[in-house]
Amino acid sequence: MKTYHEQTRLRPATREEVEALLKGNHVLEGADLSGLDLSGLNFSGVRLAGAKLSGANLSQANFSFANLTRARLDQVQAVRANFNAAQAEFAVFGLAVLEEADFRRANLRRSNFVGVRAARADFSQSDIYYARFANCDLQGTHFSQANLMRAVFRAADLRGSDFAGARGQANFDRVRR
Amino acid sequence: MLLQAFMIDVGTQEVNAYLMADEETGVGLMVDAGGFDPLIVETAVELGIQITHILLTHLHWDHVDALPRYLEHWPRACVIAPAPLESAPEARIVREGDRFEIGPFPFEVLCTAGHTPESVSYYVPSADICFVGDAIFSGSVGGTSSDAQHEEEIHNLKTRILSLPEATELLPGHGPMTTVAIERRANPFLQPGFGHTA
Repeated sequence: MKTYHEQTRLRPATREEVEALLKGNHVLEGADLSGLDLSGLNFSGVRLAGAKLSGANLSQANFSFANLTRARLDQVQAVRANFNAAQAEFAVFGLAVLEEADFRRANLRRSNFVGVRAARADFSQSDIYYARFANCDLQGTHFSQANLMRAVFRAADLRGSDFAGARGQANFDRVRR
Repeated sequence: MLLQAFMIDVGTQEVNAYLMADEETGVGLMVDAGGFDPLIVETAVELGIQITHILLTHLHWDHVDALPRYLEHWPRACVIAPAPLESAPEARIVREGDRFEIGPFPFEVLCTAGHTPESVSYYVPSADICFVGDAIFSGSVGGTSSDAQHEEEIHNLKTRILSLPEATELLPGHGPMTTVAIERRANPFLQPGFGHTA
């Protein structure tokens, strides 16, 4: 199993430039989109492996079926963003705001959710093998039928969360239920 | 710069190993050698990487046991380690403050003892990355055997790792990568009163 970390290629400076790239079906692997306002944009199915979106505004953006493998989404604002069925193995979401985000059926293996605020987010049927959730707000989240094998929940607020039908042995350390 | 992470099954857990290389010259290195994964060797061959160095962050079995097998493929690789080890008697031993270059990459050795007495991290300022071994993980820290070791580890993390620029990526020996910013603000073991690893 391997991952890549390559120097960025594209570095669009504005939301309009990103919109133009999306219209032209450009591959955005390794692109640097950090800090941009990308709220509401449609990245469905887009190849964003290794892209850097740190600190971007992704509220209600659509990343369904997108490839976010190894992507950096730390400190993003992604309220109600759609990551349904996204490939996001090794992605970094640390310190992100993910309230009510949709991660259903997403591949989140080995991803980093340290410090996130993800109340009412939906991780149903997702694969969170070896993912890390620490010091985060997961109140009212859904993990029903998710793969929890080797995932770690540490100092997480899990009040009102749903793990019905979830499978695999996860580590719950000093969580609040 | 090319940087690839490999997650190797070593029984009850996965351990990370890293390949790093300069794309122009093909000069490369490996960090930690706990398990043998032929894909690492194949990748180096496929990408034309000449592994000139193997860096070890600490001497726990899950970070060094496969070193002899990698040295079979790269017999001229220089092993850099924080303490002597039988499987590499000619290893260069490094300690806090040592600096060296591998290709175009400058490395600085940081003492991150605690998990083990000899644990070090390798900081590459030009690439904003730091290989931290088992000193710190996403949302956790390396296990320790006593209160004193835990305090030593936390002290070293705060003064050596968390003092690095916030954008620095931390590449641990197990689990997902993370950043200084994330761990500084949200790692529960770095908050007062949280206690030791479970």
